[in-house]
Amino acid sequence: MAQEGQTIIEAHGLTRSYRGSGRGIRNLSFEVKEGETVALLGLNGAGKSTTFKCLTGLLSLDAGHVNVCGISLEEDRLEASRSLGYLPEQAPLHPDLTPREHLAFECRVRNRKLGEQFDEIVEICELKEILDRPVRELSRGFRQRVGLANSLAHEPRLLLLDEPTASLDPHQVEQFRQLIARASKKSAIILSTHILAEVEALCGRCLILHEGELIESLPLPVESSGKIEVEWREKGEAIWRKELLDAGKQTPEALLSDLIQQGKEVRHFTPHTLSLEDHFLKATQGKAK
Amino acid sequence: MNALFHTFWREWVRSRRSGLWNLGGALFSLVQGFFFLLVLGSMSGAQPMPISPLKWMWGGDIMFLFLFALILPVLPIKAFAEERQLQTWDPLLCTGQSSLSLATSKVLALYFQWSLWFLCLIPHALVVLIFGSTPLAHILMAGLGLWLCGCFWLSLGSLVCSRQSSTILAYASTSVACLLTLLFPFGRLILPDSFYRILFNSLDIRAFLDRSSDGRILLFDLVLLLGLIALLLWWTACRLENERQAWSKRWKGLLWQGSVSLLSLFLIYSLLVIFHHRPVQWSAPTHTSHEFSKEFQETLKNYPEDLSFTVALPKNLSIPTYQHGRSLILNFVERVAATTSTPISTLDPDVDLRAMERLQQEGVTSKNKIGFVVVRRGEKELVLSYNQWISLATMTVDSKAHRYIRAFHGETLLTRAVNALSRTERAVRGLVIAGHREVDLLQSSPIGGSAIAEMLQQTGILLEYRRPGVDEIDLDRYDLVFFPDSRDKPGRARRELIQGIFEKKIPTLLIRSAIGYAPDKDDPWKIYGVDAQPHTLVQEAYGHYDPFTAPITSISNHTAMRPLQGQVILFDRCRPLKEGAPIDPRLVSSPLLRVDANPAIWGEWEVDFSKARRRYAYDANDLPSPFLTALAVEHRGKEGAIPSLLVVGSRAPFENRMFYLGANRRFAFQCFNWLLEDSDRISLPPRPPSDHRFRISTGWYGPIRWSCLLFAPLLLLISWWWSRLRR
Repeated sequence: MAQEGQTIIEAHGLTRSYRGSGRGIRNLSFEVKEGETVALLGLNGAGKSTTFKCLTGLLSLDAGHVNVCGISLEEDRLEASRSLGYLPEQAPLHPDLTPREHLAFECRVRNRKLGEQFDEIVEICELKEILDRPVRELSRGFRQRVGLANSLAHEPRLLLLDEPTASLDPHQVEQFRQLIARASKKSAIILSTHILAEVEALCGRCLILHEGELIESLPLPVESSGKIEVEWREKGEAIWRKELLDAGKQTPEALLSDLIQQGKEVRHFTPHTLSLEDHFLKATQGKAK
Repeated sequence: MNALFHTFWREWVRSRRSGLWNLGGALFSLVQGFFFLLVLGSMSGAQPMPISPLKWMWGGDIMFLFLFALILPVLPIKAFAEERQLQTWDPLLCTGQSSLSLATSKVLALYFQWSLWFLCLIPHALVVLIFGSTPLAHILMAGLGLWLCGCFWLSLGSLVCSRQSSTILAYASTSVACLLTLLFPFGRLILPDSFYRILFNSLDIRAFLDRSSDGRILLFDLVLLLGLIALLLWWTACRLENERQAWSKRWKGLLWQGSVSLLSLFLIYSLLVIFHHRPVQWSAPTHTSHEFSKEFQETLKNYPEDLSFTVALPKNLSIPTYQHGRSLILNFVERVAATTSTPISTLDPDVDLRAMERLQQEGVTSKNKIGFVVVRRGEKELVLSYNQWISLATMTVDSKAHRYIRAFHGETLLTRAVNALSRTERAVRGLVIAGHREVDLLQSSPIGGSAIAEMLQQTGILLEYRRPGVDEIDLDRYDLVFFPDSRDKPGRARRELIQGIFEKKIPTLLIRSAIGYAPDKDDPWKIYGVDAQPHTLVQEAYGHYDPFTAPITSISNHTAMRPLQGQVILFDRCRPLKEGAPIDPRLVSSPLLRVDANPAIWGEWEVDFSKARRRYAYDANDLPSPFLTALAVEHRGKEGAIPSLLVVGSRAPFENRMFYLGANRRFAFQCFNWLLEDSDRISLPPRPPSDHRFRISTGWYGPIRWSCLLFAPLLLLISWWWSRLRR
């Protein structure tokens, strides 16, 4: 097992372009440590899927390098890919096989035995009831679960989830989030999604991509903006007013004290925080095509 | 290995449950059942079956192969294109398997699935084995040929489908690729003589299937097919790996793969050459040492009596087409050796020298002789000579090589028959014919029509050389006239001959209704009232593939022919006749049939006589002058000797592919015996011909038919449906 805080994946200067298209990724660098859940955010065409394909070795790089658990993807793709689990947007399943067969294949093809690990994954993904039913008979939510179970079957150190909840209904989304949360206890996760609430609920960090470039790496939850949100009124007035006050060099306590001394009644006084959505829109503002 | 096995297993499990796979299997089963019934029907007739009946299924002659090429692509599209369509390909690449391992496991799974389809053929093979008399080894070899062909197509399909994500496009392109390999031999027609042409000839998948369904798989076939399969597998893996790369890097990969592919092709071809041209050693300068291939010697050891076959074909002539022809000749001799019950002695290494001398004594120039086969019994021998390297240039196509060999059989028969007749004590009346198809080759040989006439005069047999017209043929001399092939509309000369025969009421055997010929109001024979002739025996519809076996068999059994039983009678196509009749007190020899320099006849072989001679014409003797194709001979023998009738000369009985047909073989050996003056042996039949006919009672035929057409496909579909229900 990796040591606490060990770097699971290290990407440096990733560059990959497509012939005849301006799209791709340019000079992308980041790393993910063990236990982290990192979100990959970006507009459509920002390069999220390309990044995933580069991280899994499905696409070779024009420049840069990727190390997975200390193994260079360029030098030993097969060995490096053994530490990865990958779930594309549509769970890649064969309609004629059962979940049990899918999981068995994923284990056996990597020389792993079907043992407690298998039961644990079935338990985590809640697949017990549908284990022997052909995939074609399963709902979309169940298929995503089977897909997740598949990508977890070999106990990967890093799980790459490419918009896993995109086609699920709200109930299924909620259930799937819980699954991801449980999976994150066993593997580091890079999650690509457009659902910001999901990111805020699950991730400790998010990387915002725009036109193939990493424009912001943001810890979650986002930090305070330095302003204070205050709701006050003059004594005797009936109407409460809301205001964002810049404390400047003052401490919040001193600012509150000043307000009270000025004879104002204060009923709400909290540090102001920007939402992730605000951050995302701000970061990509004016850049959306 | 573990990953390979499990990927293989996954492929198999998902295919087994797929409707497409089961439907493909059922279709394959239905198609092969349908064609097998056709074979069964056509092979249970009156004729002896000459070869493995499965030949008619996948010998390349019927639609079975084309349908097969349309059904088989179902397998690779499932393994590759469907995987991409379902987007399961990328995760598979992330399982830590190499592209080669993935491609190998998938292709092996395809072979396995194809093998299961192939099991549908087992009942048919059993029917052939039980109700026919084809040896098991032939059936197994035929099966192996088709199986290998399927594997080759699957490998090709894997390559084609490896980058396709649309199953429909993948199916279409794979089918086209498979069909192109079937039609590939047509490509060689437009290629000039070159290394590539030889290579492409080797890639003739239909010729391979034809050989295998005939019970033979040559070593070079195996080398070539397995080599190509390995190459296709490697290429597929490269394509999969290459897909990851950026465009800027991809060209390097393509360059590398292209180089390796070319190198591999070259290696395969070299192996092919090494294995294909197996040694029959020949030391041309000394003419003393001969090492025959072990295989050939082993074959001959099985026949340790006094008839010998000696092959003298130099190995060191490095013309590829010659080597090809030489292998055909060897094959011919091996067939003779393998099918005769007449004992064969060990080989005489010096026979070539003596035979060469003999040829020279006979006035045959040896400068153009590059090889010959000597059939010998005791002191007597029959020399079948092969000459003119010019004709070797035409030997690139099998059929032409056959013609080439046939031509010299015809020629040899002419000369040897005349020579032998001059020495026999028996009274013999004979007609010796070199079939008209040989004419173009003979014409191009140094032994043209005039050369033969000259040669006959040198032997003293032919005192005078004239060219008679049809009217001058003395039909009274013949006890029987036999027209084995009535497809051709009779020309003027034949018409006159027929009318003469009818008028004189000479017994006539006529065979008609060969394939491609519909006896209707235009039937030339009806026009001349053949049916109305009381002395004419008309045999209808004896089949299309063997115009000689049935006639010869019929002759032997026909009551009118009983006095002639044991002797050989054959009359090949008549051609216009104009002149020439020798007068000889000992031997009456009449050049009966002569090919006129008629472009309509020669045009059959695309010879344009308005232009100069063909580039390989030799000298003045090779002019397209009227050419002797048949000779009537009569030897009066001792006083009181009963004359027998001999009509010799169609090339077909000596044709390689016809030779091992029962009656043809018998006929040929009777000719040999007769030519060797061993008259007693004329009526001595060789080992009975193997009869591969099906003998199925009506009671058996019904179940077989239904199981072919319905039972097997239904069983497959029901088992699939049941397995789905159960789950």
